[in-house]
Amino acid sequence: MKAGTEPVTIALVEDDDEARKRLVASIRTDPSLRLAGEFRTGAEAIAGLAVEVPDVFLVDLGLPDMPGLEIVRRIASQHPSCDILVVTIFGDEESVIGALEAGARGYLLKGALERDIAIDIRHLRNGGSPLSPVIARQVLKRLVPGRSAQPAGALLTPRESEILNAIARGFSYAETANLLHLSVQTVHTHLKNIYKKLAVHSKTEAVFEADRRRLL
Amino acid sequence: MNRLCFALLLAFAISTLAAQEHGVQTIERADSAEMLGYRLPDDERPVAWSPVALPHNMFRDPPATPWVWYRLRLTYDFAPSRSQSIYLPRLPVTDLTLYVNRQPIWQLGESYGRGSTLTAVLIPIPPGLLRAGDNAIHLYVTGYSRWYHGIPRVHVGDTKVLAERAGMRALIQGQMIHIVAAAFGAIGVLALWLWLRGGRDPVLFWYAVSGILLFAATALWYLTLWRDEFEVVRSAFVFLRFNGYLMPLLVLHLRLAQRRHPWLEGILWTALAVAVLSTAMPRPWQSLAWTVWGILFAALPAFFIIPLLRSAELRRQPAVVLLLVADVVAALLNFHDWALRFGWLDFDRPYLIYFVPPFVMLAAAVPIVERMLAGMAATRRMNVELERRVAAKAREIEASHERLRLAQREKALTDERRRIMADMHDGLGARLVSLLSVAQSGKAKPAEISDGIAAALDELRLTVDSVQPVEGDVGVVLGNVRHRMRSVFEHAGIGFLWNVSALPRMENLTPERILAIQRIFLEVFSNALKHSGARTVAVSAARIPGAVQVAIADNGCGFEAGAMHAGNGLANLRMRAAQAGGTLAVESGPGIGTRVTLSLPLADGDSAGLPESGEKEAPYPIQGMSPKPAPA
Repeated sequence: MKAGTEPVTIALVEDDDEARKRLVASIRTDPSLRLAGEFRTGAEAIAGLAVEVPDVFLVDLGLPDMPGLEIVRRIASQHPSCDILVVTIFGDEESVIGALEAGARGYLLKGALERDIAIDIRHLRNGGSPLSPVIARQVLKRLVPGRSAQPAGALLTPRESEILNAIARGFSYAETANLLHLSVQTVHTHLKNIYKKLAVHSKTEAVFEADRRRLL
Repeated sequence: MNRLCFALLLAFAISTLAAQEHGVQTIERADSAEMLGYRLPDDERPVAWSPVALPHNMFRDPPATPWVWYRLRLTYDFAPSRSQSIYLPRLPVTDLTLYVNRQPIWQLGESYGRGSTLTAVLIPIPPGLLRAGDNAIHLYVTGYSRWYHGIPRVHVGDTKVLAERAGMRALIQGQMIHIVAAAFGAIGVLALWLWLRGGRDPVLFWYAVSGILLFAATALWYLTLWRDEFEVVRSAFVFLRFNGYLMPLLVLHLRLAQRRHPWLEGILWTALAVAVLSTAMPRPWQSLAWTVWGILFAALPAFFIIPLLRSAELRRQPAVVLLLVADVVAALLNFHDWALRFGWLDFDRPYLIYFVPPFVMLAAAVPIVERMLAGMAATRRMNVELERRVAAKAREIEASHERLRLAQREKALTDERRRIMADMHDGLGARLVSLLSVAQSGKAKPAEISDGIAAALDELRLTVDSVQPVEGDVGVVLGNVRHRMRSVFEHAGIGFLWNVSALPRMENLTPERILAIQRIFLEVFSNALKHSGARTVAVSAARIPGAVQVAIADNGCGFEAGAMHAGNGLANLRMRAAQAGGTLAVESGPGIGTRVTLSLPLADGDSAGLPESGEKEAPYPIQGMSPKPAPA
């Protein structure tokens, strides 16, 4: 987390002009956020990264020139310091888990209140992002020990399981922290680790799958 | 077989010629005298010797009494230096005592047991007994014309040479017969085993009977030679050995030709049994029984060869032709032995009838093996065909399962599509239509329209949420509602109490039911938010016996005082509860707020424990309070 005085730099890629304008407008209302760049296509976004790497990158998954997940994957691998938030309409399991596994740190719902974007970005910078109970449950299911041939490092610790369980029951991060007698900051740190594990998991899963199919 | 006989005879002739070169004398002339008593005739009293040619076939040239003396002369130019022996190719007599130069040197029964047509005898002459010049050999014999007894040529000479000859003779008339009988006994047992295991082929059965009977008759015959107690049944075995084996072979022929003649077979079996039993009866009866059997059997070719020949199909089979040829040869061998007995052939020739059954069985084995191979091939073909059919059937079933699965999936998809369409129509569609009419009226405030659109979006998200995977976890469904609504509550400045205990997994939590549950929440929440003036909303969920109970309570003004149209709204909620597969109860009143309780019954299969995902009991029940309401 950067020092409170310094604004968080934000870049975004979104092909719909109206939507982009709204996002930009929303970011500009918050003094703690600074817009570093806005792009219409994946290619532009990647070119833009060469100029400046923002703290947060908002990625629309439905881009005309390349799959959104591809951009997420590239940014995540080349600029690990950059937090990626994908922008979806529904926040459904498929698109969110896919994005998290590609290296995203969370997601924003299109059409949510403008103020929420700033809140979500702050959450993200604190290490977590709003995770819906459905997503929490899926993450739990994927990373729980004993389910697949996974390295121990890619599996959930008991504490992380507890946190995900609480979120899957509909508790907010603050409530979760309260329940488990943790600080909100600690919950965020755990979530950050969980995201990393999810990315590792997806990679080892791919390797495992490839090995199983004798592709390697 | 003829060639075999020829070869045997040739070998015999060659060995005879070779032996003469080694100083073997074959005595073909003798004097005979009929007299009872073991003392040499000339010693007791002068006897009238009459010349007789050797071999002496008593059947053809019967002596007056069974007791006959033979006197043979043997001349040596000089006393033999090497060991000398007397060799008799066979000895079909009841008793025999042999004297050389008036010294008794050998008696039948001491080492050779009983004399028989098959017994080849080699008698060593004690050294020094033979002298240069004339030597005399006396044989005292008890023999019977009716049993085809007689005396063969007498060979005297070098022991080594004669031992070879006697060994060869014993091989042909002894060991070979035993070995062949044992071999066919074993083959018979094998055939019996195959018959028991396989399709109970009558041909195989009769083959087995022929083999085993052949062995048994031979073995028992030797048993009668071994112990005197078996003397009683000896004749029976003689008969079985020479005639009995023919019966199973005959049946085998008939079965091979796929014929059954129950009457004929019955008569023959009866005749055989009578003939065997007649061996214990007085002679005339025995002769009669044997004659009847002989006549019956002589007529058999008409019964068993002709049916075979008449079957064009069988006639074309080389194996059957081979069998018929074997039968003809077997008949010739039989005639050979009869001729031998009646004296039409040389008395010293070996008997060949013992090779008839093996010979016929060998020939019969060919069609049997052919049949078995054909059967095996057919079985193999059938198995292949069967496997092919099973595989085809399996593929068919697999394909039909696949079709069924696809059809079921198709149906599920169609159902789901129809449901989503209906939901969109009733939910989203209805909202958009009402929104449109509000917008068209021109009197709508922008806030009203944006609220309407937000509600439509919520509706849409509800629909999407309802198809998210929750794996029967009703807690996740509730949590998701809360997740969606949290910011709304925060903005409205309403406190949110959340008390969800550990809930069992519900297998019947379909998207349709999820959507219904979500809609109940949305409706109750929106009532609480917009009309009740509540400051706090509390949601609790717990397991009660047989059901999961979800309660939403607020501290607002209740239905009656609130703007919610109790009748309409309540009916709507009840309908949704029914869609969710549960029941709904509402308590409401001024001052006490509203409490909506939804009971979702558990199905039988629902787990008593927690939904899977590895969570433990520990954090539950848990309670939470959303952060302080944001300033409105």
